[in-house]
Amino acid sequence: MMKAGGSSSGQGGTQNAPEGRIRDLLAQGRWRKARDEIKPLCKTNRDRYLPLLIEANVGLAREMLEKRLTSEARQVVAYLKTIAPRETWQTLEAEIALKFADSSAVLAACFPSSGDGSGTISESQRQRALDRVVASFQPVTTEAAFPQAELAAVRQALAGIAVEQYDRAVELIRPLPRDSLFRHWILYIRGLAAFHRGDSERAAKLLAAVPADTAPGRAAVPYLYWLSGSDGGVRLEDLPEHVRMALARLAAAPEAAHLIARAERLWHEGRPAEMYSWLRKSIDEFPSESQDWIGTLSEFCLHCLFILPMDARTGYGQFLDEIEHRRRSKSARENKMLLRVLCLDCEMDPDALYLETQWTRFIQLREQLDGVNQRISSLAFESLGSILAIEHSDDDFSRPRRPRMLDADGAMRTLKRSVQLDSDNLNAQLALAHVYHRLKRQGEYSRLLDGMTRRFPDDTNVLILAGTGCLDRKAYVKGLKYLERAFAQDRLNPAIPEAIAIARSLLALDHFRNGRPDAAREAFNAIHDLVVDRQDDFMRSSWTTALRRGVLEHLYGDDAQAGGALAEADAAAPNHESYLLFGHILWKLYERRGTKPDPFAGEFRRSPGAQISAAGAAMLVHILEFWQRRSGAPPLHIAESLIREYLRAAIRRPFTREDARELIERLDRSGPFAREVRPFIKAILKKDRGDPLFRLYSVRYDPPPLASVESRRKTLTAILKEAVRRKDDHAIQAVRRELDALELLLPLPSIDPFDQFDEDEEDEDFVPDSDAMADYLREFSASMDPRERKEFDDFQEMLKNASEEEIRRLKKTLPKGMPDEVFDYFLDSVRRRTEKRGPTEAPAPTPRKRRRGYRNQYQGNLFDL
Amino acid sequence: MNPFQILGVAPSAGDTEIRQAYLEAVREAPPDVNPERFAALSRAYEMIKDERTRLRYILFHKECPGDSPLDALVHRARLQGPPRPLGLDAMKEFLKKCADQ
Repeated sequence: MMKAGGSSSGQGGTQNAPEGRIRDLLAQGRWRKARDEIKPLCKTNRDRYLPLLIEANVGLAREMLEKRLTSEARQVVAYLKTIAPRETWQTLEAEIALKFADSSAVLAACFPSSGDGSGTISESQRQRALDRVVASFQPVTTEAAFPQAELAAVRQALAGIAVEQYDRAVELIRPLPRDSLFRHWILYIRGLAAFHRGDSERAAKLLAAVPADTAPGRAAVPYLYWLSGSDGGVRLEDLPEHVRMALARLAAAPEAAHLIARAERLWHEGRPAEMYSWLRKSIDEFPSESQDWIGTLSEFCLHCLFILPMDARTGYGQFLDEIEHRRRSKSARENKMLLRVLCLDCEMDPDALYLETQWTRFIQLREQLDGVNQRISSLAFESLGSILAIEHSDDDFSRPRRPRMLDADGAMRTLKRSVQLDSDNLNAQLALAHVYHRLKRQGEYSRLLDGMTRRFPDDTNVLILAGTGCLDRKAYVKGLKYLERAFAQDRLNPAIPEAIAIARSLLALDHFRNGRPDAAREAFNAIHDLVVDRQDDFMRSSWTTALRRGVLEHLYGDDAQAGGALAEADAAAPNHESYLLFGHILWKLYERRGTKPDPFAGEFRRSPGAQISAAGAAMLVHILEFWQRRSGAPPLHIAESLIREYLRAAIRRPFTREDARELIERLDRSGPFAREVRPFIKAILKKDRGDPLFRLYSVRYDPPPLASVESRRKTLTAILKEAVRRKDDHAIQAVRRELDALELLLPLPSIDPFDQFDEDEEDEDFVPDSDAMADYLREFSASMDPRERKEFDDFQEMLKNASEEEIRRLKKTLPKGMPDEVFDYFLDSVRRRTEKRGPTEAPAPTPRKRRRGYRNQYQGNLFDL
Repeated sequence: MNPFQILGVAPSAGDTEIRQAYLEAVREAPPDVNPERFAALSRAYEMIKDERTRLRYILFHKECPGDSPLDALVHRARLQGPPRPLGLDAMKEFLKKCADQ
């Protein structure tokens, strides 16, 4: 507008008091008042005040236009015509015509007859005028200097597109020149014709060529989205409503475009529950399982649960559960669809009782609606059983526990039921076999495997399972037969040759121990076909195979042959220390009587002072991890302490950044060698303080004491910036992973699925972070047995009163598997609680009263069903 | 994406019908001409080629058909080929709004 420049025009001579006031009014945009005050002054000194009067009237006309007061604006322009030059009022007239007038008036304003000052209309105004004329589809009767025949052709072509006469549409615009005023419309029409004919490539090219700031350019957007989706840089949420409507008209039933556009808006506003309610209320058939657009919309509205961020997912899950649980479903079909989605949602955080009840209800409802199908019921029970069989470690940071199944009895029961319903359901039987194996129900496991090998004699998975099952029962020959059959069917699965190598080694051991050395050697010879050229494949590499044979020959066979095999192993091993360590562990594994001294242990103990590199030390750690993962491995404490010595020796030798990286990556940050790793990190950072990867390692291994999650995020962000600057992809990925993990920790204090039900229990003094964590700690404590609870409470008490030095020491001995961030967070929460309530005040005994969330609410009513 | 829609068959279709639909679609989009479409068809076929995989899909699939309701509808409609054009009234209304924008 003219506010800023209002006082700059028409100034001549010294400014007097009334003129100053008028200029102020103009500067404030008070056009009408300024005009009224100038008019009498203008009569006294026309030359001085006329420019100000014109300025006031122009401002007033624009203000009227903005307020859509067309006739008033026209009156002002009519007055301006009597006092101002043409270029002043012609632009205003064009603006009025563009906004409110019919096509003829627009053309008259923007394409005046020649020689009357049309140069004052800008090119963009002219283009806008043309676009409006085309889009209005109104008849044009004007004297304007303007190609009416071309306009008619464009309009007819658009009408041709609307009735699917694409060839005719293109023919109509063919005679138009390339530099026609309607050139953008020509591109648009040709693009539309190609689009509806199915020539996507041509359509995309033509439509993308239409300038985006023109009407046809804007009208091309839904088609471009159709052709390339969001890959084309068009985001649905950024599009105006009418463009979404057009897209909805093209994609679904035209009469539903309004519904869809509103649903789309609600979705982008983050209101999925309202979106669901809106569609449910507006469309009788919604939700539907059909293959039409309603079915697609229904599928989206239910499955969007799985793509929502965690908080929104919980809220939307509660909403859907409310519909289902309170029997507010529109129909049994909606109920069934909701139940299925809620069951799948529950897999993320399974609750055995809830899940079993929901799946059972789903199956019953499905049978009522769609008829009995035992296969589908079998699949549902298989899924349920597999989820109940998922193992959780339940670590409480102070004492890692053995992984336990979510509900072992439930898993067995449901998987058995699945097999009963469909005895051809192989996956259910494989899952059941896994459960029996984990629960050490050997008899049932063997019987099931026998049945499976009869029913599925050629299935590779069954053969592998049967083979390994035989190995557990020491039936090596039978096991090998199964495994070799599996290998014949699937030569690419590396698990099969590894299992065969294990079986043959065990068979050889058995032969040696029972005095059949020739048979044992024969078993070993057969392993040679399976040997791979990878030193870190500890089951199938040439050096570990030779070492196994050498150790067994040494223990039970011929010393000369043992010497040959061991020499071969030593030569092929990655380093001598690896050979010694692996040999030492094998010796402990195979030697039962304790009569022969271990030939590896002595040298291995003496070697820590020897020349071992960082890469060599990393291989030792790798070997140890391999044995730690295997059931039946001998005790490895001594080996662990010796490896620690080796690591200390390795730091004294030269090593590269890559050596150090490999070593650190191999180690668990809270594992037994954390202390030995720190010098490697420091050494690299001493050479290059900014090295992002090693700065990250430093943060991992030596986090600043009491660092909050937020400050840790800042540190990581700074490291990421440096990694990006150096284009260190490895570091970038590692830091991003760390940041992602940290993001998961950030919302922890506010995790309270019941909060949104507390509408009538607002507590002004409630501090969400500490209270939520306090609740969490109390619940956590309450879930323990009394002895554990006491330990946990003592631990919290000790933390409250610990000095910084004690905390620092404590952090260096964090339990295995406990991330530093969790400890920091926990510590922060314990201390904040102490500060809030005073150092001596005991934690409040009663948790906040709250309504139950959707899952808990359901459990509460489960017994009423 | 919904494999039934990709192959253009009803959920009640049997193995033979699904296989025929797959083979016909692959004939129209062989891997050397349209590798993306071929891959999509093959994936879809693997998901519903026999009763067990079909049932598994019907029971357990949880892929969202799009990033938003409208995106889901566009994805679905795309599989059915080019859409019918906007009617003349709808087109006029749409173009007028584009010109006024």
